[in-house]
Amino acid sequence: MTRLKNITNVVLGICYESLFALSLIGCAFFISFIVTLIYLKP
Amino acid sequence: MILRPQVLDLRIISHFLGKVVLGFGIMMAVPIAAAILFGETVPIIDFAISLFLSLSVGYLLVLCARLPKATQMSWMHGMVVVSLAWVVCMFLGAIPLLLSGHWQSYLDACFETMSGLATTGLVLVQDLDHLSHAANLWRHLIMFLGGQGIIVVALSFLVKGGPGAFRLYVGEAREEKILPNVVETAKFIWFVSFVYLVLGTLALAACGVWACGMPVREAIFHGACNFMAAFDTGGFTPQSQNIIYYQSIFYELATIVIMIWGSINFNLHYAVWTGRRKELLRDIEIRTFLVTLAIVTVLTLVGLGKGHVYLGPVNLIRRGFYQVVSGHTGTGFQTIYAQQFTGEWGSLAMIGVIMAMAFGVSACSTTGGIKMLRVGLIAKAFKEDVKRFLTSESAVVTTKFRHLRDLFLDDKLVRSAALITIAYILLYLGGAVVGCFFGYPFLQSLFESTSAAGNVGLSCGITQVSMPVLLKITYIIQMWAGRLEFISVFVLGAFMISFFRGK
Repeated sequence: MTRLKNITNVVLGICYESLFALSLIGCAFFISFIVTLIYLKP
Repeated sequence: MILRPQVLDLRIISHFLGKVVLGFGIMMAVPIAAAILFGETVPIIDFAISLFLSLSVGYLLVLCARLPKATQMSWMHGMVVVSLAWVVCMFLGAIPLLLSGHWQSYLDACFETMSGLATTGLVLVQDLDHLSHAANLWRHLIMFLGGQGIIVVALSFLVKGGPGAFRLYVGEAREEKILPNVVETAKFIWFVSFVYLVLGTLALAACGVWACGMPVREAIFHGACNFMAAFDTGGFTPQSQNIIYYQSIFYELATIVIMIWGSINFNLHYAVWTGRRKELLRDIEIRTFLVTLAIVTVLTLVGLGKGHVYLGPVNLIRRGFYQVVSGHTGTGFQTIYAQQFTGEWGSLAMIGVIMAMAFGVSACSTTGGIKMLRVGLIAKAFKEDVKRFLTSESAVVTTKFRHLRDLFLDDKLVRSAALITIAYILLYLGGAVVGCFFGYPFLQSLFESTSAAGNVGLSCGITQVSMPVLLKITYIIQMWAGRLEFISVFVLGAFMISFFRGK
């Protein structure tokens, strides 16, 4: 049971860290979008 | 009065240095296995010679310095062993590279090896696209070993635990133990790395096959090499075009995720993997990283937007943000050519990337640079000082921060953080001055110097086979000192002085 809990924690941990990295990419996309909007003006 | 080291000091240093060299030498069996797998005969001989030489040097060092039982290693011994080990491993690791014939001189091969060990990623290889799989794997393996720490390798297999082991571990710029036993800590670092190695290699191989149309075996080889370079924030790639070669947004996104995995403190990995997931967003390192990443991203993207270099959010992410993350995490993967930094990007965007490279991310991770813990502590100290002026004189102002547990800011912590930060800034500027001496413009010299000293590996074109010998040596020293975070290098310097001038 303890082993199962450990494995679950590791899997959830990996998912959490990956989600963190992906959310950073999402934020960067938002900044890129704003920058594009500002500088695409004629 | 400076005391000259005794014979016993030299024997202790030699004994442990030999063990570390043995551990490093044994790793040369991996490229030999790869050469057999890929049917490459000449590299087998190259690596067999290098393996023999490394094991001989290691055994000689251990045998010449048998230690009496219960000999204790001091802090000085630990620091000297670590700083010497990195230099000896550089000389030995460069032998198979030189024998492959793809490096013009032994100095170039040493540069590449130190670049790998220090997880920098600056390259001087020639005709990389025709380098054997074995030598290519060795470049990435030394990066993997350097990222985990040569000492961590030795602690995992060859050195017994105890105070001596902890002193070696600290000498390699890792002050925090994850588990009470330092050997268990080293094993946990390997556990995290291997789990991510499997996942990352599979993800990159899938991207290689599905998005880039690569054959399965090549995709796995590229996946493993690129994973080692990304997770260990190194930046070597198995071909000369760096990440541009893959021409795939999925490959680029996958490497961004892996670079961020690699830049997280191993202690935080432990916390998150043992169920304390909230620690990730509460930690001072990650919070500071979010702030600095936002600042340098805005700076770089505004610089690129102002110059109309790339239009559209997708292009800005793939070219601008990718270079920022690569620089901030100290990886050095590039999705643009080196000359584009100077030819297209403009000063503002370059300054954004230089700042990112100078910062680094987490202590006790594979990244280089000043590190977010120090930046965060200095920022908190500034805030505390300002708060003192705003409150009554009799008020006691304290500042709390979260780094794995609740801690209070004290002068000793701030002093230590400020000293290392100043040392890094001086190292960045020192390398830039040497670059200027050889006629390179200041901004480019600073870019390349910060890249070397911060163990990043992004290049604006200065690092070439034809660059001056003195500049190559300067960058080697910067990579070495930057990776070990100065203290053990300074101790080695003091040890040398006491050896010659002590009484």
